[in-house]
Order: sequence, then structure tokens, then C-alpha cells
Amino acid sequence: MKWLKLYREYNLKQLKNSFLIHVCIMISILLAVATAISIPKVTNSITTSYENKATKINGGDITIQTSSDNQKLHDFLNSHNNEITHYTIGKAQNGSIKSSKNKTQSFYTDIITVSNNKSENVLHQNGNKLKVNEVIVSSYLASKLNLSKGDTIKLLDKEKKVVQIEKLPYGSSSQGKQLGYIKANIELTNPYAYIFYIDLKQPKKTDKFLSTLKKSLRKELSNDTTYSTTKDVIKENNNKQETSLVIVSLANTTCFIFTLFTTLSCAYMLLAKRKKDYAIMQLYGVKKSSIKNAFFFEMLFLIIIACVLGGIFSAPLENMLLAINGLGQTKTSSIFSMITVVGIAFFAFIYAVYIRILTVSIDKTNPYNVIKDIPNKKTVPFIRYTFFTLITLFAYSIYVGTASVFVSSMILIIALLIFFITCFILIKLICNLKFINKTTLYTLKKVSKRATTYSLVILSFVFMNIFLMLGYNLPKELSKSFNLTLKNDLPFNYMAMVKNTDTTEQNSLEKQIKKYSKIYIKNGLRCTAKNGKVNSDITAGFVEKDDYYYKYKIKKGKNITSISSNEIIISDEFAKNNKIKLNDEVTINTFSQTQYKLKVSGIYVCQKINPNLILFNGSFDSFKVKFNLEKNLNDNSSSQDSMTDYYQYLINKKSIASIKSSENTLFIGVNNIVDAMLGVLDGYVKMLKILGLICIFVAIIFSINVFIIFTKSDEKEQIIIRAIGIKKDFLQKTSLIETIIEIFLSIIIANIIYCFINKMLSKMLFNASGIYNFMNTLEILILTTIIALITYVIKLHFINTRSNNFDRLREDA
Amino acid sequence: MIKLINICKTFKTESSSQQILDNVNFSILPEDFITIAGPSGCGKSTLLSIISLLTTPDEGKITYNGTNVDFSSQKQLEKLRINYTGLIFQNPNLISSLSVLENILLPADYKKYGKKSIINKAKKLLDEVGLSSKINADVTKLSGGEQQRVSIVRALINEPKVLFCDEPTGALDQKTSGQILQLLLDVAKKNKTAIVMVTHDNNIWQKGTRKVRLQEGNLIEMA
Repeated sequence: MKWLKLYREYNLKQLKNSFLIHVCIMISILLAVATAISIPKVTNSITTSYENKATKINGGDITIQTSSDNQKLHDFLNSHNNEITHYTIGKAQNGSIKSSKNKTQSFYTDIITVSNNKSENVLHQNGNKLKVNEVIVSSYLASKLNLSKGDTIKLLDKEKKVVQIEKLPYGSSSQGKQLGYIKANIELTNPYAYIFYIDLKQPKKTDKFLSTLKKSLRKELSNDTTYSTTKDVIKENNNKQETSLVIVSLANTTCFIFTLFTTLSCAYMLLAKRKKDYAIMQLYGVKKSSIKNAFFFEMLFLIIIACVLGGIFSAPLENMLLAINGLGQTKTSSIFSMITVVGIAFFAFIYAVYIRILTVSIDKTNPYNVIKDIPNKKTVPFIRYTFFTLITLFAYSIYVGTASVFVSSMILIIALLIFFITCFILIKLICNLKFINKTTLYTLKKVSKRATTYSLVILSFVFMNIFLMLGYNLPKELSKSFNLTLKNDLPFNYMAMVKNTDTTEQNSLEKQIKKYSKIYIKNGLRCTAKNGKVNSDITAGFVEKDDYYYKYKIKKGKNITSISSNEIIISDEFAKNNKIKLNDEVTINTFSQTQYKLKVSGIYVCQKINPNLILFNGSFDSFKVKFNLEKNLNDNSSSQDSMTDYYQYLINKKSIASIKSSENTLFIGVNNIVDAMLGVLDGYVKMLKILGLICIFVAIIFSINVFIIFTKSDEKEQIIIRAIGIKKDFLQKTSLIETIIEIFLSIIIANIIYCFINKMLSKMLFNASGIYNFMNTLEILILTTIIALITYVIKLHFINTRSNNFDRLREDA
Repeated sequence: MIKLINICKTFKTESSSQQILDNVNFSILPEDFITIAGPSGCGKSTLLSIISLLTTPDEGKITYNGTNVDFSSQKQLEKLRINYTGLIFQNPNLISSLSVLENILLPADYKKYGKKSIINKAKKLLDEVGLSSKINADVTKLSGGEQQRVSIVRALINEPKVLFCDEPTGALDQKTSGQILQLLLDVAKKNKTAIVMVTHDNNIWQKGTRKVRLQEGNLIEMA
């Protein structure tokens, strides 16, 4: 084959000359392929893990979470012994825990206990019952508090040893899945939720059993009751993976697009470098097809090596992404797994096609024009590239297994295009500024001529910065923003929970804190309204005027101290969720099944904290008899009910470290709650961090690539400038101005986009206005500066060493 | 004005070395038109690049207006290049991103002459070379002859004492070559600038007021 001869005699000999370009191409493809292959591998691993452990994650075949211990549910389950293997009851309570390593850092979390019908603890660890001084901690909580197995923590002021860290949320409450949880063998006095874990004799009949249960207990169970089966766990995980994929594919597509630019521009550079050689070959009879095939084969060799290496490097990347999702110990797919092999083959094919499209330029070049230096019309097959890129992204979404990846890629490409046009326009605007100074004029003219390429360099920095800022800064700023909103809307920053019977502790606390609001809390009541459409478990809060220093902000209607005993105020969240308006009538159902109609006279701002808290004006005692809030004293359950009552103190203090309290008093900081709520974003944020780090490499490769492209023509121009008598510092200043423009535009655009995303997310998640602090982004922006300065230093080196090589003046332009 | 004293230059390769200039002694006087010819590869361009301070000789010294040139001092070299010399090459070597006027003004010394005065001078010179209508044109769109005219104006903008020309008409056709050469001579005469021109064209060589041949490292001035 003639092309093979050409390859051996010409292309192979060019390897030494074009070594740097070849390396650039290989690294670009390697980065893109490693990232792209790791993503579906991670998704598959997570999905398989969840499918294999769905029942364990759910806690049983069916899990039912209610806000109170429902006797009717117990009766139902006991009466269906023939269908149920067994059932256990979990309780969940909010609490703060502290690590023994860092005693100042506490974390708001869920405390879960699980017991059988006889209230015996059934939590196990490695086959052994969990002891009273032992706890099991979720991996999210462990990472937040930097806990390892064997560490001790303080839970409700008692030291406990961490005996296990659960990578996946096994049998957790719904809140615990997001905020983290701790499983302990203790008595919970103020549970907010009761979780029924039910195992069936015939798991295949789960749906039927659940349907029967719901039908039978339709009136007995509130609308807030949640039901979960193993199918729901798998479905929820699939939805979560879908969301993760959408976010991750944004970064992946960015990586792919920029590395593609680098690959193609390097390949074009090779062709440009060899154009005279190819022209001479053609004039001496070598066919264009042979030249094309030899070049294609040279590139194919690189592509295959890079793709295989990318497949290999996808394994450590997969490990990192799995660890983020709590599956760090999961065995990663081997290089010979189907998904990796298919991925390598897929990308090798894709890049081969791109290179093949590129070789069209060999067909379109007239060799005679090249020899005579007659400019050839530059052709870049944009339409073919665009069309093929769309096909590639679509095919990739099939490889990953979800169409949402294609959709998010399209959104990203549109965003890239918009930002590219913006960069381009900004560069042109800056370059049109009138400057007297020759140095600036020359620099701006040069940059303007290369506006397309400079825009791409700036864009690569912009995206690198955005992903890093989203990964490293966003949680902090969202937290600050939400905390500020809470500070404005909530009159308190701490809540303390004290048992209603513990008057000693109450007195001690009141002496120490002086200013507070004291609310008597009773759980387990039901609120119905709108002909049964509203059927929610609620918490009743009774507050006296003299004990109400820190007042809830009223959104509508009256303040609590202005309402009568037949009126209540509800939270804005409760009103929104149940579509209750001011002056609506609701019915409170008590334990004795009596009902009392009350008017909603006020709506207060709760900021998602205790949304189901309904407030009454007056002490508990004044309502106790009126609403028959306690059952017959002979009834055992009533003493248990009053045991769950407590006083909630609303406090506003800089720190509670100085407050002396008993072990049964629970303090919760509002900012702890915020941090825990932001845990929802944790997995996504960590993935963005990793992908942001990959984007650093992409940005470096891209800017070096651009530098290589322009080096030869810049060098000649620099020699001319030196030769006509202009000093070296003219060239040094020019390079500096170029670098400053790159840094300046990258920083401005990245900050604007990040600020927009920050504010949008703040609004969406917390209805907060969003805080943006430029100083917080400084560290990441310094990275842009460093990369740009590295390129600047390399340019300086070239100016110092090569700009006086005046022999080049005799070369053809 | 410019003196070369015992200039030597050797080119070394891996296997051998060749002495290009062997104790060359030469003077350039004001308003001279010196043409240098010689066989291909004899070192004409090297000689020109040494006189124009672009290349360092291995031995010997050069004086500009009686002052010794220190080739190790970049500052002195840059000062002499901008104040004394103008360079014209076979390739016009214009900056593609700048317009005609901007290319001309690039080496212009605003401090010495004042910006307005320099711009007026540039326009006047462009007029003399017949390019006043293309003052803001894109240089890449000019013909070879037009580009060479721009490079001539650029070389003259700082009123150099001497113009160094390395085959300035080498890339042009005969008719255009003639036009360019005449233009160069007229403009140089008007500005009282000496010209040192390397050429392989015998017709052009004959036109020199001082004709020099470089042979085997030695400079021989013809009568």
C-alpha cells in the first residue's frame, strides 16, 4: 500500500519534530475519554449497589413513617401475622452530636432507635446487639465530623463509641437520608417520627399488602404518612442518578468540547506545518489519498493509545466518584469490562471520524498555490463538525443510558455558544478602544485579529473557574445566604428542648439565658380541614404572653398574643402545603378523638423549621381541660404521651458554650440545621469539585495549545519588530497586556455567571436572595492568573531567546 | 560615518568551519550608494547583517560616528538601530495585523520628533511612494510592490543615516524592481541617506556609486 510506504518514510520521521503536538493530542483525548467512560461506570455501580441492597436500604419490604405511634397501625399489623414475618418500630428524633476530636463542632442530625413490639432494642452490628455505649453513624455524618470506626462522640451529653459507619442509608428516616443519622440504643423522649419496618412472608405481594393497608387505615393515618417499598428505593435512586448525570454531564461535555478543539487545532497545525512537504509530494506524483491515509493512520495510532489509556485512567476516576457516593469500597469495573471496552471503541471511532473530516483540507489544497505562496482559501468544515458533534453527543447519551445527558449537553452547548459570542464581542469592544500608546495599539490589533481563539481560551478559563467555584464556594455562600435570611426572619438562633417535668432544669436555664420565648410543646395531634382534604399530624405549641420575648415574624393576620382561645396561628409552610388561608377554619383532633374547630387568625414565618407547629395563646394548663388534651389518668398511654411533652426555648445568643445544662437538655443551632439541609447538595458539589479539577488540566492544555499554534507566526513578527529597531521591552509589555486581558475577561465573566447561578439556586432552594462575595472566589481566580502567568513566562522566555534570530528575516513569510 | 575594522566571521557546522569574512575593512560615508555583489553563499547578507548590527562578528570592531559598537550592550545596539539605520529586506516583513500607516509608525520615535510631526512625515513619504490613497489599508491586501514601498517608508521614518537593503527587489518582477529601485534612490537622495544594498542583480550592482564584490571572505571595491 503506497500510503503505508509514505507513512514509514515520511510520517514516522516527523514524530521527533512534532512530539509536543502529538503529546498535546494524546493528553486531550485521554482526559476526555477517562471522564466520559467513568460516568456511566459510576452510575451502573451505584444502581447495581442500590438494587442489590434495596430491601436493606428500605429497612424492610415496606416502611411506613408517621409522626406519632399509631395504635391502629399496630393492630392492623398484628392482625396480619399470616402475611408478615415480623415488624419493628423505629423512632427518629432531632439532635446535635459532637465529635470528641473537635469538641466545638456540633452537627444537627437524626437519632434513630429501632425496637420490637416489646420495646427491646433490635439494632445489630456484625451480628451483635448494639450496646448502650455504641452507635452506628451514616457515612455523610462521619465525613462531616471526620469520624472513623472506633472514635467517640458525644450524643445527648453521653460519650458513645462509633462501631460502624454505614456507607448507604440502611433503614433511615426520610430526613436522616439527607441530613445524616446516628443509630443508638437509647431512649428517645421527643421523637418526631415513628418508622414501621415490615418484612413480608411473600415480598412479591408487597404492592397488594400496602394497598390493603392504606385502604383499611385511610382515616387513621394522616396525609403526612410516607410509605416506601424496595421498588420506591430503586426508583428514588434512579431519579437521583438521573439528576447527578445531568449535572456531571455538563462538566463532561465541557471537557469533551475543549479537548476536541485542542485535538483538532493540533492536527490542523500539523497539516499546516507539513503543507509545503505535501505540496511538493503531490507535484512529484504522490496521490492525495495516500497523503490523507498516511496522516490518518498516524493520528489513528495516537487516538487508539490515548483511548486505551483513557479507559485505564477511568478506573481511579470511577473510584473517586464512587467514594463521594459512599461506595468507595465497591469493586470498580475492570478495563476489560464491556462498558469500558465499548467506551474505548466508541471514542476511538468518534475521534477517527473527526480526523477523517479534517483531512478534507488536504483535498481542497492546491499544491501549486502552496509552492508559489498564493494564499489558498481557508476551509473549515463547520457544518460537518457540528452535525457530527450532535450525533456524538446523542450516541454518548445512549452509551450512558439516559436521554437527559443529551439534553443537558445541548443546553451546555447553547450556553457555550452564548458565552463564546459574549467573549468575542467583549474582546472586539476592548480592541476598538482608541489608544495613543503604540504598545497597546499593537497588542489590541493582534488580539482582535485572533479574537476567535482568544475567546476560546477565555472560555476554557471561565468554565474551569465556574466548576471550581460551584464545587468549593457554593455551599459556603448558600449557607451564609440562608443563614442571613433566617436571621432576618427568625427571632432566634438556638432552640433548647427541656422535659416538661424537669422544673429544676427549666429554672436553671431561665436564670442563665434571661431573655427567651418558652413554648409548651405537645406532639401527636391531628389537624383536619377542607372536608378531609387536609389531614396532617401537627405539634401544638402553647405560649404565654410573659414568656414570649422572641416573637415569630407574622406574615399575615394577628400576632399570637392578640388571638383568643378559639384561634390559632400556623406557619407559612403549613399554610402553603395544605392550602389553608387566613380566617379558614380547621379542626384539631385530640387523643380522645374529640374535635375542636379553631380559626386560623395568623400566619407566621417558619423558614421550614418545625413547619407543623401550631401556636396557641396561653399556657398548656389553660387548654388542657378545655380541649381534653390528656386522656384518662388511668390510661397508661397518657402518661407516656405527657412524657413526650417538653418546653421549647427560643434563644438568641452568640454562643451557648457557657450555658450549663443537664444531659437531657437538647440544644439545636439554627445554623446547624442550615448546614444539614445543604447536605442535599453534598454529593453533587463533590462531583463538581472533581470535575472542576479535571477542567484545570483542560484549561492548561488548551492555553498551551493556543500558545504553540501562535508561536511560529509570533516569533517571526517579534524578530521583525526587533530588527526595525524597537526595543525588547515593547514585546514584553505586549505579552503582559495580552495576559491581563485574558485574566480580566475570564474573571469578570466567570464571576457574573457564578453570581447568577448562586442567586438562582438560593432562590430555588431557600427562597433567599443569595450572597455573593468576590473575596471568596479570589483563591480560585488566582488559579486562572497562575495559569495565564505560566504562559506569559514561557512567552517571555521565547522573546528573550528567539526574538533576535535575525536569520529568519530571509525566510519566506 | 560607519567603519568596519578587521571584521571576521566564521560559520561552524558539526564537521567543518568556513570563514565567511576575513579581516574585512570598509567605510560607509554619508550619501553613499554602495552595492555589494558576490557568488551565492559568499556571505553578502551576513556582512550586511553585521554592519546593520543584527549579527555579532567573531573578531574586529565597528564604529558608528567614531563610537565603538559594543555588541554585548543590547541598549546601545537598539539605540543605534533606531537612530542610525533603516532596514529593507527581500520580504517586506510587514506586521499583518496593522494597517499601512500603523506599520510605518511602529518604529517611529515620537519622543524625538513629536507624534504629529511624525504622522505628517509618514503621510508625505507615502505620497512620495504613491501610496497616499492606501494609508489605512490592510497590508495583506497590497501587492508585493506596494508592500515593499511601505517597508521603504517604514525604514525612512526615523530619518536614518544609512539604509541597509538585502536584495529589496529580489521577490519582484523586472518592471516593479526598476520602479522600486528608482524610488529608493530618489527618496534616499532627498533625505540625504546612504544606501548599502546587497544584490545578485548585475544591473542593480552597476548602478552603485561604490561597487563592491565579496569574494572568499574579502571585500573588493571596484573602480
